Amino acid sequence: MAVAKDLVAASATPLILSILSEGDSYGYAIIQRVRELSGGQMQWTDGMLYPVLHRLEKQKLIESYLSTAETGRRRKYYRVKKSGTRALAEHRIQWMLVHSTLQQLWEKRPCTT
Amino acid sequence: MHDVEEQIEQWRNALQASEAFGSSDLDELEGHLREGMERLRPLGLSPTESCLIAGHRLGEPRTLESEYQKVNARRRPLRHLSWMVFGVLAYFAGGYIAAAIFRGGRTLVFQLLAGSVWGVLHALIGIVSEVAPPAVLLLIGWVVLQGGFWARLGVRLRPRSQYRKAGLVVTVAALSCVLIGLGLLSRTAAAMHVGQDGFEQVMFACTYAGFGCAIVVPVLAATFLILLRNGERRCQVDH
Repeated sequence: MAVAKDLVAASATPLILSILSEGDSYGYAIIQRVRELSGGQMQWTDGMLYPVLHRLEKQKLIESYLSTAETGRRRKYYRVKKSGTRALAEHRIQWMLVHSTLQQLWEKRPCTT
Repeated sequence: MHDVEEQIEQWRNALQASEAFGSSDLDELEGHLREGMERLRPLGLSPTESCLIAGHRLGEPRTLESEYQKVNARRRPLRHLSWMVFGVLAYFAGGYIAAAIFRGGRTLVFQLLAGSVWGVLHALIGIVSEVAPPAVLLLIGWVVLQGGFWARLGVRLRPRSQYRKAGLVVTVAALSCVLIGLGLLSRTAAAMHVGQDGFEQVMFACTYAGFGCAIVVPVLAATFLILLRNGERRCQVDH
């Protein structure tokens, strides 16, 4: 089941902020983490992640730094900033609100399909 | 292996053709491509095949371009403006360097003909002290424009990079003023040996050249930096 494009776009920011709040990470690992958590159901086009990361960086929610990996390759790592943690808390409240609203409705009328 | 490196380079060049990507964007995407290829290798795919699949997973170049364009929209005009300011700076500084070399060279030839060792030495110091400041400033301007230079150094310069660059240019501008001062002193000392008529001529040239360099070059460098920083700030506000 493919998740609708709009929903993927809307969930990108809270997903990235949540993953980065687990620990610093880089593009490829973030994609892998999303794939793993969604059981392979949510597949972003890999390259689409970077414009979102760069946008978050310009909004000062995250910051990047270069570091050398064990393989000797230089990678750009991202870490969440304090303002990013605050933004994530807000996102969380909003998503939980949408989630609980839908849940209440769907508990009354279960999905028959 | 050589084939696949060529394939990666072609893929990179195709993206590079668009102005939507900066060099650090391309480095990041290439790193991702290579990482994807490495993960595909245990599946028994050839390097060429894994490159194709990893490239496909990254997305269509056109879609990537439009997404990056949204983030880097302000970078393009800002970059064009930076080059224009650098061009103006290069025009003034280049003209000044050429004039200084011509003037200094003429003095040098006269001193050589006269066979005065001190005169030759002073003429040489004069040329170096006049040419060095604008040349160094131009070099700094060039380094600032080549953003990738800082990324390659691997130093964490963002977002304070602009302040560091500004600090560096201001230091060089101050240094250039000191050098100009030294140049003036040494040339005055040289002029002492030329006699009354020659002294006046040399002083006139020194004043003209020294003031021109001391005022025009730092002012241009400062304008250049202010434009660069304002542009950067606007970028951050917009997104």
